[in-house]
Amino acid sequence: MAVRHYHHHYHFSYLTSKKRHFSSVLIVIAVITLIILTVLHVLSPQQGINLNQISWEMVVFATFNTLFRLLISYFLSLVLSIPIALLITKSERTERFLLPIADIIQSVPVLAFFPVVVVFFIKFNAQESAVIFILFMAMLWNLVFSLIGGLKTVPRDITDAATIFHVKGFRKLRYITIPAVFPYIITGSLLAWAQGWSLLIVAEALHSYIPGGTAANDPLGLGSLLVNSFYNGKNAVFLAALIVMIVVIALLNFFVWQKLLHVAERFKFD
Amino acid sequence: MIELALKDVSKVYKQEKVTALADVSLEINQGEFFCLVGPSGCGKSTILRIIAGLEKPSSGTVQSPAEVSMVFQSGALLPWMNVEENVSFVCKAKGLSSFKAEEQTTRYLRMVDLEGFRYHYPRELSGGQRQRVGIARALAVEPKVLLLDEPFSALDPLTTDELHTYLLKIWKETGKTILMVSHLLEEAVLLSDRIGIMKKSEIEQIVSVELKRPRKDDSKEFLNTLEIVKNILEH
Repeated sequence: MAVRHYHHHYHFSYLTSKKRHFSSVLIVIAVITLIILTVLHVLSPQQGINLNQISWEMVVFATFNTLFRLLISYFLSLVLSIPIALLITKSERTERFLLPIADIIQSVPVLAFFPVVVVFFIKFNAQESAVIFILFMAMLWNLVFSLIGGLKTVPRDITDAATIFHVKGFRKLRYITIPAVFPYIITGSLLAWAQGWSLLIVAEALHSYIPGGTAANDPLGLGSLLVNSFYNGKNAVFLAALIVMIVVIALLNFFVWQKLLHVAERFKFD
Repeated sequence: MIELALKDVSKVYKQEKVTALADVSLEINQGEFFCLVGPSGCGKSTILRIIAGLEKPSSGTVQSPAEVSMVFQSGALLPWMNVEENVSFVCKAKGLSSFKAEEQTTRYLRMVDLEGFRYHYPRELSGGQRQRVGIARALAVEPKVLLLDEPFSALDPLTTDELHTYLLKIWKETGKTILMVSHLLEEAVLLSDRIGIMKKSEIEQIVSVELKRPRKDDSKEFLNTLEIVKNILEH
C-alpha cells in the first residue's frame, strides 16, 4: 500500500513528471529572463542616446532594453490573444460579428496609429510605454488569427468528448483547448516576433514624431541605435548593432523557436 | 426495465433544410445490446448524438439516464496525454479524487488488457489499442449506457474481430446497456440482441437476433438472420 501510495503521488498527474519538468523549466527560464532584463532595463541609462559616447556597454544595454520591450509586448499580446480568440470563435454569431471587426483593426497598419500613440504617451512622459504599445499591437493580431485558425481545427470528436465527459470551464481550457492550439500558438508567436523585430526600428526611433525631437528623445535600444547611428554616419556603431541584432535573432531561433516547434509536434492531432 | 426511450423524436436542420430524423420512437432495455444499422446519412448517428446530449431534438421526448458515455470512431484521445492520463482525466472531470480516479483507470485498463501501456502515448499505439483505450475511458466514468459510434470502422478485419471479443466480454462482465451504430450488418448480427434497421430518417424495422452466444458467423442460423436483415435493408 505504501508503495502504491508513492506511485500515486509521483506518477499520477495530468502531466507526466517529465513533461511537468519541461514546462516548469520553461516557466522558470522565462521568469528569470524577465527579471534579469527588468533589472538591466532599470540600470540602463535613461537619458537617451548620445552618439558621441557610444561604448560596448551601451550596445549591451541596448540589446537588453530591446529584448525587454519585445518580451513584455509578447507576453501582453499572448495573454490577451487567448480570450480574444475564444470570444470570436465562441459561436457562429460572435464570429459573424466580431471576425470582420478584428480583420479591419488588424489590416490597419500599426504605424498609422503611431503618431497619435506617441503624442499620447509623451504627454505622460512614457516613451517606454509607447514603444511597448506599438510592438504589442503589431504582435497581437498574429497571435489572435493563428489562435482562431487553431481553434477551428480542433476535431469535432474531441469537442464532443469534452461535452460528454463533462470537461468544462478552466479544466477544458487548461487540458484541452490550450494544448490543442499549442502548435498554432508557436507559429503565431514566430510571426509575432518577426513582426516585432521589423517594427523595432520605427518604434524605438520616437524622435521623428516629436516636434523638434532628436536622438536624445529616443529610448535606448537596438532599433534606435541602428537608426541614429546610420543617420549620423557612425558606421561602426551601426554595424555593431546590426550584427548583435542578427546574432540575437539567430540564437532565439535556434534555442527557443526550433525547440518549441519540435515540442509542438506532440500536440498535433493525427 | 426500459433504460432508453425515444418518443416521436424528430431532428430538422433548418439552415440546411435537412430532416435527419422523422418521428423516431425506440425503447431499449436495461442491459440490452442494441445495434442501429443503415446506409450513411440515414440518421443513425443523429440518434446517438441526441441521446448523448450533443444535439437537441427538434421535437419529441428523450428519456435517458444522466450517466451516458461514448466511444468515438476516431478514438478521440488527447495526443498530449498518455494512456493513463487520458482515462483518469475524465474520472477527475467527473469529480473523483486522484486516488479513486487511479483505481478506476487501473481497473478498466486491465479490462482491455492495456495496463502495461499506461505510460504510452496514443501515437505509440495501434489503431485497435487506441480504440481499447477509448472503451476503457468510456467505462471509467461508470455510465449506465454506453454509446458506440461506428467504433471499429477504421480498423482492419482482424483487429475488429479482436475488439468484438473485448466488447462482448465487457458487456457480459459489466451488464451495461449498449447502443452501437454500425454500417456492417455482420457486426450487428454477431453482437446485438436487437437490430434497428434505419432508412431515410426512420427506423424501418427492429429485428431480434435469437442466436445463442458465442455466435459463429459461418453458422446456418447466423447467415439466415443476416439474410433477413439484408432483405429489409434492400427493399
